[in-house]
Amino acid sequence: MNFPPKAPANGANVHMTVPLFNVTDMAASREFYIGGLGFRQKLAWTPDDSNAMRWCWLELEGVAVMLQQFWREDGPGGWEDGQPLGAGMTICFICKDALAVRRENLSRGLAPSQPPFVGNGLWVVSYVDPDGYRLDFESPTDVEEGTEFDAGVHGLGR
Amino acid sequence: MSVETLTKPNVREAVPFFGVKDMPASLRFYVDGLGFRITHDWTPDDPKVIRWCCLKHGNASLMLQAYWQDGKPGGWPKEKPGEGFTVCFMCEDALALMREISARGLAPSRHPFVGNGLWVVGYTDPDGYDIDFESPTDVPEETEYDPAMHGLGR
Repeated sequence: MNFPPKAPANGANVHMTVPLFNVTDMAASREFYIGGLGFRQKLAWTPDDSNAMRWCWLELEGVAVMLQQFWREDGPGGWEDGQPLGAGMTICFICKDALAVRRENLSRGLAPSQPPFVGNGLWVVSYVDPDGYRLDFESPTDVEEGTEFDAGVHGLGR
Repeated sequence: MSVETLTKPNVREAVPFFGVKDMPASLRFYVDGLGFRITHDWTPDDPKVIRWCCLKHGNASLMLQAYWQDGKPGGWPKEKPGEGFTVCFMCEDALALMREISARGLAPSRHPFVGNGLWVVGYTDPDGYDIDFESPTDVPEETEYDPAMHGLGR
């Protein structure tokens, strides 16, 4: 993937969805997305100090996200204390095998925010980032609706 | 191992899922305004009452779900929807898309400008979620859109 992403072969004008999350603590968010979820940083913007990142573009296989530090005047700031971020929304990452994503994240020390379950014919593996944004990794399954993940039964993926 | 397993990534697409207060108003915005099309819907109560749908525009998708309580719309959170978040749809030509959307009667919520080497055309949906369409340009950074200069796209 390149920034910005190249045109798709099918010629569609709108060709990729990239969530942009404003974050209160870039270091904590990077630890979550890179150290936990396994994203890789492809671009960063450090206009003030090479140690103070204000924006970055991260990729995980076929998807990308952007993180942007809330900024006011000369430093982090500008968010409303007590105002939850990302209310009413979830970013769903469509996968071939969401349980494999869970296993990889666990090996990096990051557990889902709730037990994985089957909803609408999909395994749903949920995480909540340090600012409260909800991220679901989802993949098709024929396991019964409403089933909760059991490592003894579903440990090897779908 | 199948060819698909060898060639396709596991994590394939990011799809925003928005809870909405008024599904008909959201559909007017996304379908009649922005030009998305409904690919799947869920109408458990009445075939005319969509409770959930998946929308597509080119290669991008999003999902809408009506807040629902006691058999009717309700139960939405008090907080501002999507605070701190913007969904960026990467395009070949965001200005061309803006012209198509304007022809359907929907103007951008913010004046288009150039940021990070991209034209940024921003809309705010009926619930307050921010939607940007962005495409590469070599127009100078922070230029604001001027129809006389940029009316024909990038």
